[in-house]
Amino acid sequence: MMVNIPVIENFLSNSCFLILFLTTVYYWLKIGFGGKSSFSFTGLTGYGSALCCLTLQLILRWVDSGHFPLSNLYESLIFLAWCLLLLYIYIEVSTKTLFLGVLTSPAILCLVAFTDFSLPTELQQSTPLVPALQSNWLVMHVTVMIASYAALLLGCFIAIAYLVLSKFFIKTTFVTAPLSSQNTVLRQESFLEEKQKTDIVFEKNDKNLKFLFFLDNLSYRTIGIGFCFLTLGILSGAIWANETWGNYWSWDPKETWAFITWLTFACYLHSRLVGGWTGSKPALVASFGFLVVWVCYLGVNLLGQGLHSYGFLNV
Amino acid sequence: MQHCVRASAGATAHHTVGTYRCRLAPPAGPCQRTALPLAHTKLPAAHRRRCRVDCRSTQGPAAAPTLSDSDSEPSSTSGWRPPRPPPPPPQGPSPLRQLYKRTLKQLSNLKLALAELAVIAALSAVGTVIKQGETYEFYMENYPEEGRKVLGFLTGRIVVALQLDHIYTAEYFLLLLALLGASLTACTITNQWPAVKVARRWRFKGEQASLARLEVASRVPDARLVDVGRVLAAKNYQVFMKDGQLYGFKGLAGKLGPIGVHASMLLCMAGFVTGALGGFTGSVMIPQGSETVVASALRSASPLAWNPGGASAVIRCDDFRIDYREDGSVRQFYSDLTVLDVDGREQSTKTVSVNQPLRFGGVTAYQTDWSMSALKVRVAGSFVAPEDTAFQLPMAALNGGDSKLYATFLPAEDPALAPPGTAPRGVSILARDLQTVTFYDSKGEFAGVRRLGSGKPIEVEGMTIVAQEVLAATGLELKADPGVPLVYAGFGGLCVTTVVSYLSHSQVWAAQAGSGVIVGGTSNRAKVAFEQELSDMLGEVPEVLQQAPALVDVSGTGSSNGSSSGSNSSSSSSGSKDSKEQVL
Repeated sequence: MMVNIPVIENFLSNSCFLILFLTTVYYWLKIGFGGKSSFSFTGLTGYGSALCCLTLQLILRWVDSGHFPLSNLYESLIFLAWCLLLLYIYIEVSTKTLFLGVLTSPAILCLVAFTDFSLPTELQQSTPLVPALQSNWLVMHVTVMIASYAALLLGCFIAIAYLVLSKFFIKTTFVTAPLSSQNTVLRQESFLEEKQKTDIVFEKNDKNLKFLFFLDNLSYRTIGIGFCFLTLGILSGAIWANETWGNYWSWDPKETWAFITWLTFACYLHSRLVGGWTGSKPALVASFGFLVVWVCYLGVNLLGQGLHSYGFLNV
Repeated sequence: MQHCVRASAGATAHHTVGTYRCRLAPPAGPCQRTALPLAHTKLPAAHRRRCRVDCRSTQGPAAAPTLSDSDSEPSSTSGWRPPRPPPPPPQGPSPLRQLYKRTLKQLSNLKLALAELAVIAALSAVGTVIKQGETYEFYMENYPEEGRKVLGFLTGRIVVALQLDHIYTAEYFLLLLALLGASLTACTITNQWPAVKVARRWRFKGEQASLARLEVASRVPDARLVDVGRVLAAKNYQVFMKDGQLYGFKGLAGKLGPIGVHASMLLCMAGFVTGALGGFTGSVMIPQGSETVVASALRSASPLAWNPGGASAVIRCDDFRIDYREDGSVRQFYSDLTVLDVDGREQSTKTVSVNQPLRFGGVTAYQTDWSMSALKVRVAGSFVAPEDTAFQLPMAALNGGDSKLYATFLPAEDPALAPPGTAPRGVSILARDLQTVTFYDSKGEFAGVRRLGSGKPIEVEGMTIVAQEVLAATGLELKADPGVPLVYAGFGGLCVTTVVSYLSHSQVWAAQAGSGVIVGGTSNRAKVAFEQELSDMLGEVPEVLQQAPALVDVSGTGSSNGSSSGSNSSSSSSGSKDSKEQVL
C-alpha cells in the first residue's frame, strides 16, 4: 500500500468527530440566540461533510480488508452513525426544520465519540471473516438491520423528545386532543378559535403545539420505515441461517431480541393505526422500544453468547 | 332491519311503529296516532310488511311491542281494527354459529392481540437470560437453592419446573403462538376482509354534513366538480362522478397490504409447524474416505414425519481440507462429497463449504463441524517393528476450552506388558489444527512440534517419528424440512406486503354545493401528507368566476362576485351546472 491506511482512518475519524462537534455547537447557538431560525444550509453542510468522512473511512476499510466493512462491532457502529446522518439529512431537507438538529446532533456526536474513543482499540481492527460470514447475505442482512436500527433509534429518540417537550408545552389542563390527527382543516380552525376564547397563557401556543404534532407525526413515519427495514432484516437473516446451518430460526439471543424488537414496534404501529392512539401513549411505547433496540443491538453482543458473538466482546 | 331504528337513536324519524321509528316515507294517509298499530289498514301493504317489529333490536324479541300497547288506547276513529298478534320472532342463528361469531369477536380484539404480543416478547426475553438447553446439574449449580438465590426466589427447581430451560418448546409458549395465530385469522375474517369489500364498493357521499364530517374537509368556492375531478385524476386517483357527486380513491393496495401481512405470518407459522412435525434432522461425522447411510443419521421430529427421498442415499466423504490463512486462522472448510444411491451408483458430487450446502432428494447437508479421526505416522524403532512402519493412530477429542484439541498416544512399549493400573510409556501427540502436531514424552514434557507433511522426523522416547497427515472427518448437519417452502413463501409474502402496507389508501369525496365544491377525504396511513396533498390539489383547481345571474340560466347558483379564494388563475367563463354525467 502506498498510503498508510490506518493513519488516514485515524485522521478521518477525528475530523468526523470535530465536524460533528462544530455542527452541534452551531445548532445550539442558532436555536438559542438566532432570531427567526429560518432554514439554512450551514447545518446540512456540517452533516454532509461528516457523512463524507464516514463514507471514506468505510471505503478505506473495505479496500484494506477485502471484505464488506461490516464484520465487527466497530464497523457496525460506524455504519450506524452513517445511516443516522443520512436519514437525518433527508428529514431536514424534506421538512425544512432546524429544531430537530438541536436534538439529534448531540446524539450522533455521542455515538461517534463512543465508537472512536471508548471502544478498545483491538476491537477497532479489521479482522478477516470467519467462514460463516463469507457470504453475500452479509451485505444484505447486516446493512438492512443497521439501517433499521438507525431509523428506529431516530424515531424513538424523537418520541422521547416529544414526551419531554410536551411536559413543557402542555400544562395539566390540556389533554392530548389537540394533537389528534383527526383534525380537519375546518375543525382545526374552530378549535384554535375556541382555545383563544379560553384565554391561554402561552404566547407561541400554536407554534409549540404544531411542533409537537410535527414531532409526533415524524416519529411515527420514521418508526414506520424502521419497522419495514427490520422485517426485511430479520427475514434475510433467517434465510441466510437456513442456507448456512439449515435452521431458519434457532432462538439465538440475537434473533430472539430482534423478534422482541419487532413485536414491540408491531404493538406501536397497531396502537396507532388500529387503536387510534396519538400523542403521549404511543410515545411511551416508543420510548420503551428505544431501550429494546439498544439491548438487541449492543446488549446481546456484549453480554450474551451464541451465533452472533463473532469477534465481539465476550463478557 | 335497516329501516327500523330505535326511537332513542335520534335519527330523522318519519313515523313510529311500536317503539321503532321507520325511515321509510310516511304513509299516504294520515296517521291517527303516534304509535301506529301494526295492521293499520291505511298503511299500504308493502309498507306494513317492511315495518314489522321483527326488527332485531339489541334486546332481542323481548323488546317487541306487545298487543297491550295498541290495546291501551281505544280510538274512536273509524276504520281501526284490532291489530293482529305479532308474528313469532324468527329463529336466531344457531348456537354454534353464535359461539363462532362471539369467539371471532373476542379473538380479534386489539387489546388481546397487544397483550399476546407483549407476553410472547417477555417470555422470549426470559429465554435469552436463562441459558437454554443445559443439563439439570447446570441449573442446580447456577440457580442455587441455598444461599444467594437468583432474584431472591429463582432456584434451579423452579427453572426446570416452569420449563424455563426450554421455554421456546414449552407447551404454554407454543399455545401462546397458536393463540396469536388464531387472533390473526380472526382479525382478518372480521375486520380486514370486510373492510376491503367495503372499500371496493365505492359510495358517493352527497350530503354536505357527511362530507364535512370527514377527516380532512374543505370548501372550494367558485369551482366546478369537473375540475376537481381532473386535478385528482392527474394525481393518479381513480375518479368516478355522477349527479354532481364525486368519489376518487388511490392506493387500494394499501388496504390489502395488512391482510397480506397477516396471511404471510400465518403461512410462516404453518411452515414452522410442518417442519416441526414433519422434519428430519441429524448430524454425522464422516471420516475421509468413509461413507454413511443418510437414514442412519436422521431422526424424525415426530411420528408424523414422512421419509424424504434422500434418506436411502449414501454420502461418501472423499476429502476434507481446511484452507488456512497466513496467520493461522481458518479461511474456509471444504468437503468433497459424493452422493450414492442405494445400489452404489454415484448420483452427484459437490465440494461443500460453510455457505454452500449439498442438496439431494429433499435432504440438505450443511458443513457445520469437523474432527480429526486418525493420525498417519511413520515410526522407526517402535516395539511393534524396529524398521520404518506406517501406523494410523486414532485420535480422540480432548474436552475443555473453546478450540478443538485432539490427541493420540503412541506406546513405546507393549501395553499388555505394563504393570496393571499404570499407563504404558509412550509419546502423546496433540493436534489443534491440520497444520502442525505437538509431541510430548512420557513424563509429559514438551518434545517438539512438526508441520504435517514436511517429512521432518522427531526423536522421542527412542523412536523416530514422522508425522505425515491427519485424517479428518467432516461434520455434516443433515436436514429434511418439508416446511421450508411454506416458510420461504411466507417470508417472501411478508417482505412484499410489509412494503405495500405503507401505501396510503386515500379516498376523496366531493359534491357540488352551489357555486363551490365541498371536498372531503380520508387516508389510512400518511394522514398529514394526505392533508398536505389535498390542500395542494385543491389549490390547483381553477377558479370559475360566476357571471351576473341574469346571464346564467341555472337555478340556485347564488351570485358570487368572483371573490378570490386563493385558488389559481385561469378563470373560465360561466360556470354551468350541466356537468352531471361526466365520468373521467
